[in-house]
Amino acid sequence: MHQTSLILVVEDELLIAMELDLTLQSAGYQVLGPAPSVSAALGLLRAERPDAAVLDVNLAGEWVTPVAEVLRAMTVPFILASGYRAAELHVEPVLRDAVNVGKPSTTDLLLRELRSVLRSSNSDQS
Amino acid sequence: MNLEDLYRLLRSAHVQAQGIIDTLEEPLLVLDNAGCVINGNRGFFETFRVGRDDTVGRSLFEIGDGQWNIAELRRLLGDIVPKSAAIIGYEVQADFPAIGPRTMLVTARRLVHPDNNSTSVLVLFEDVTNRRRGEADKDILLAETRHRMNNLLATVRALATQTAVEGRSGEEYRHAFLGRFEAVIRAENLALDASPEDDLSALIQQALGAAEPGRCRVVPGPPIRLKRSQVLPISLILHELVTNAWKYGALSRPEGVAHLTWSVEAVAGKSVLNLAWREENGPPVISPTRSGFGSRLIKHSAEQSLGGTAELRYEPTGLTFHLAAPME
Repeated sequence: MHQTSLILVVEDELLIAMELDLTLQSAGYQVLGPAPSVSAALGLLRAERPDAAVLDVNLAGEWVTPVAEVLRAMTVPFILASGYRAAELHVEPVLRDAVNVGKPSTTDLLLRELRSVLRSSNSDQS
Repeated sequence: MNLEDLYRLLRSAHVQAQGIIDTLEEPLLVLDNAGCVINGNRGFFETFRVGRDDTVGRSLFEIGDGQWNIAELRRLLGDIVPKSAAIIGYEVQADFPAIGPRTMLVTARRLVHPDNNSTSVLVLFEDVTNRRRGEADKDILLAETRHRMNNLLATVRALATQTAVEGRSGEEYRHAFLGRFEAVIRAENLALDASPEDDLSALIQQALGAAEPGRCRVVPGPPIRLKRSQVLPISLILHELVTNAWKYGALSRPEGVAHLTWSVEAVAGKSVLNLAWREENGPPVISPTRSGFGSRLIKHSAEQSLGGTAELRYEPTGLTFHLAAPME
């Protein structure tokens, strides 16, 4: 990749969002957000198209589903960073098949999975 | 008394079976080997609110709008008579006429009449609707608790990784980490409390609590109840202000003082909280001494979490800080 990839971060817990922001920037990415709610995230997506997204699932009570659906429609790949287990995520088709790096997530795993979805997204488009 | 005991007693000739059956609150039916109701106890008629006349002589699979007409239940009951098997706790979920949706456990056993070797089936019903609901509620509560715990662990980890280490001793790092950690704990406890009227005052009191009386002068504004999502950012902002004042600002000098006030204004029809912090009589402020993490914390808290703005100014008289956050 020649230019810095832009990653949308959706996370409602302040310190976790800041850590994600710092982790991604230290790894050389640009961060869109972090957005703490569905409405904030959708607002950001109206203005810019990220290359990928990292999504927390439970945002102060509401699920991130609407954001995931918009991202899918935009063909922007995403990974989840959520404490929910597979069985709990199963109820939402759009989230069911996404990679979940868990919470707290290991930095290595997060960056590896992010690289992976960016790579496959790039190869899809070439 | 469970079904085994009742079964044993019913085989004995000395027992007033009818009396026992009627004492049982649990619904009980006696069926013939074709599934027709021979008899039922008062518990059955009262629980399902059906009359004796609507039940006795009719097939179990017809009564109550056919609620019991389930293929699996028919098969199981069909197996009991020839094989002397038993059904224990077969779960039936149905919307029963008169009593509504219930979950029932069905237990059934073959009875052989001592006088003529005719076969009957004794069926006991247990209403476990409330028990199942309680279990479902418990599952939800457990999932939410686990989720909350994961978030707290991730939050503490985020604090540990972002608290600065450069140019600091282990003790200084730990002190900085624990200070913010305690701000997180305060926020968590406040959020868990049964909604006090005035969250903001409580938070301020706790954040300023360590300071000697008179060093931090608070001019209270109106009582403000904060949303759950506002508690942590405000707690952390207050902690930053107080800590920095101690280390480099007004509170690092005995004559230095910090003033804190707040008010609520209507801006374009929406309520906005204005929080103002002003230091005076402190050491001359030369350049920003706040750590990278501290600055980022204030910025993120104000802009992302609170959806507002924060302004920090290094005036000649002392540091001033102003937060404007929509209250919704």
